[in-house]
Amino acid sequence: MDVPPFSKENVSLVKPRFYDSVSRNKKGCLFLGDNSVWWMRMSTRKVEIMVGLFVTLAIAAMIVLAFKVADISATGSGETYELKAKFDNIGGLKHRSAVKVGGVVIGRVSSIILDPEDYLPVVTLTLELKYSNFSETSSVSILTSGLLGEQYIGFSPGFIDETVDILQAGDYIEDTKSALVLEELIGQFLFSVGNDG
Amino acid sequence: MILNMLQSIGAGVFDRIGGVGRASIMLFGALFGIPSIRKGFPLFVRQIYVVGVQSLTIIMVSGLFIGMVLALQGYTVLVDYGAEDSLGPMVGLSLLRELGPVVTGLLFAGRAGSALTAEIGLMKSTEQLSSMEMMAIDPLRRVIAPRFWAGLFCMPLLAIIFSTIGILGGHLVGVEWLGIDGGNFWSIMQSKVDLVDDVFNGVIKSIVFAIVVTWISLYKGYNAVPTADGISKATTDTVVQASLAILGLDFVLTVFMFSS
Repeated sequence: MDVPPFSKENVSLVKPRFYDSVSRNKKGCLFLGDNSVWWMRMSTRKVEIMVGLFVTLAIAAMIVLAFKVADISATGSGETYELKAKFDNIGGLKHRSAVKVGGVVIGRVSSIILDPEDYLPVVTLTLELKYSNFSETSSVSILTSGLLGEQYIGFSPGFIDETVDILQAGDYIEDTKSALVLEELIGQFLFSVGNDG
Repeated sequence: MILNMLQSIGAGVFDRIGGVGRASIMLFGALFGIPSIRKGFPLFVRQIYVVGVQSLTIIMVSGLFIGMVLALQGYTVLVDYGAEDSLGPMVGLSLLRELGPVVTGLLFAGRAGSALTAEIGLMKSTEQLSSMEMMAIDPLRRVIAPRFWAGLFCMPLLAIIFSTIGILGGHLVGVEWLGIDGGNFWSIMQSKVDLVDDVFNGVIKSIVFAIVVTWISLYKGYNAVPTADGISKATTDTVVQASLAILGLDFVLTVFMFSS
């Protein structure tokens, strides 16, 4: 029979895989009294499997949170570009509010600042690059979803012919309609009623 | 008389400061105490089993029930305003931002923290720690460090599992029993919950709580008076102080994370 030559590598081959755990437990009981505790008598392999299951469960939970609850795929990691629009009044528009064309979300509000010269709010829209062919006759208006719902930007694409340019990144959208403020509406209504009477 | 009183106050103050110092030295020793990956890792895995896997049942069951109760209570309020579709974000946000990290921390302090304190306190009272020192084995490395790292590793995972199970429980009550539209439940939640702002901030919270809870329980055990009475007092102290620390820190962290 062909006996392999004795070397360090061959010894490690025949060594049982969980040999070290047994000796470690024996070593452990020397100074810890570990064998008196039931989980120290459990084999290392079983512990490893349970810990592996625990970590797998946590990773699965994280994936559920990321894709089902927070939905990172919808917030868009694709390429984007920015457009700006100046409003008289943005109402309840917030950072991360949606920008919709015909109800389809094409981007989000990425910043809202006040222009230091004329004190009008400037809203920066971050739109997906695949929706980039809007003409400069496009208009944006601040709308409300439902009677009490959150506010979003409704984007109406303008017509395209050879006399108008396509909006480039960083351009201002000229045609904007501000948010409807309920108090102002009521005020106007009362004013007109007062004038009639 | 007054002199005696001043003296006792001073001694108490110095005791507290000394305690903070001892706790910091212990934390330092535990943080940088793992001697080598090869030796330390099996100890670490075993402690993950004790601290994490064995806390899994209570975390999952309480997560399920808290999610279900949140959905039930939220529904009764929201349905008056016709806003029951917002149940999804309500359950999701309250679990991810607050209840997940906080309740996990409280349960962890009660389930694993008290066990750590009692175990180490008993090791101390039976002089196992001193005999390890006599054998030139640093108990900070052999006993404290694996437990600390295991606690730090496990609690964020437990909090994530808690929140996920809670949201599934809320879905169970809201969609299956109370009849909210399932598509609305998920899609409104998806539009309101942000991965970084809500999920990751919750994880950061639970990491902070993990450090505090594990640190307090290890210190209380390591510093326990080595009698039956002393260990019982140390265990009680662990649960009380860790719970108060979690609730106080939660307020501070919430102010920093979500108050903008």
